Amino acid sequence: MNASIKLFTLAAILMGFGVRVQAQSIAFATTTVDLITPIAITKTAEMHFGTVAASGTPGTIILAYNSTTTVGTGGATIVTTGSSEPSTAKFLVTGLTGETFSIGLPTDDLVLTGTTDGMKAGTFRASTDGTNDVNTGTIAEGGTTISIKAILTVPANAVAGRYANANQLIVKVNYN
Amino acid sequence: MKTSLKLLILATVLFGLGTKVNAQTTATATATGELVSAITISTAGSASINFGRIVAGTTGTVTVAGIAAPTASTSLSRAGGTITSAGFTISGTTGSQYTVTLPTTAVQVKHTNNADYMEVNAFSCDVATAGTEVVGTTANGTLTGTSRTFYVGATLNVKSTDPIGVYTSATFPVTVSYQ
Repeated sequence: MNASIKLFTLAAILMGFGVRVQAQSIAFATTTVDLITPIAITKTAEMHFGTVAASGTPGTIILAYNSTTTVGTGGATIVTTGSSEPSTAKFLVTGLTGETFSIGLPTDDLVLTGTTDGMKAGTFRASTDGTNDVNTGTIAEGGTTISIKAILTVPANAVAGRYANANQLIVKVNYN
Repeated sequence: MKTSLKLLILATVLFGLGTKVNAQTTATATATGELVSAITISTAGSASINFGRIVAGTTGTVTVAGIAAPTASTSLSRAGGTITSAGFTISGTTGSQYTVTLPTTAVQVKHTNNADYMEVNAFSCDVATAGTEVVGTTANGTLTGTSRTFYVGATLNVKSTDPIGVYTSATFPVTVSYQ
């Protein structure tokens, strides 16, 4: 019986050590991050509505993605002879190839300052393929070009001259 | 009769020894039962704290909370990527109290060029209450069932001079022990 008790005690002690060893357990994990090239945007072409003629009736001139203009509404007309060529604004977006980005355009009309105020550019839209309006894009190898179209509002009897807005056509891009 | 008696005594002794062997077997069986109550920890789901994609060039921090499905909290510009906390599952005896120990020193995440690195610190986890993050190197909890899954997060320290690229750390330990 004594021998039996000793054996039992020995077993119990061994059991005790076993629990202590198993009372702690360790697992391992890692951590990772991807640091990427900042997104950048540079202007490659100014927006230009060309030469238009005002009349006694207000009107609009529509500038398309392909740098052409058409008459929208009212009395404004497009002058083609001896005039400056219209031009769509263009921006180049660079960053991590394949990454998507959002495009932010002015939501308010921009006032073009000339002999008199009142000429306005608005309804800005962006395209990355020259056809479809988009508010997002994907950065291609070498960068992605954004074209900006708009509508010019010509007041009645606008005074002849050069009208311009220097720095307010701001296009913002952000990684999605 | 004498011979017969001796045989009987011998038989009794042998029987006694047999009983002793059986007692030892019973003790061994009990020990096996105790091993079931061992506390263990293993990775569950993502075994990595992933800070996603960060835009280079600015000094700042990115914090991934120690909860399931965390978001990244940062003043830096981000560009998507997958944000994960590291998941772990504790297994043990229901009702037992345990302590989880997170890394006490910063963990380096190294650029693939093996020269540049950033540091990850301020580890946190939601081991006490699921979904409630606690920042610290140790956290206590109680097993309400036989297992408990919790999540570990941390803070990444980005320097404006860190070059672009993929950064990955060596493994870091997360330890669990009975209190």
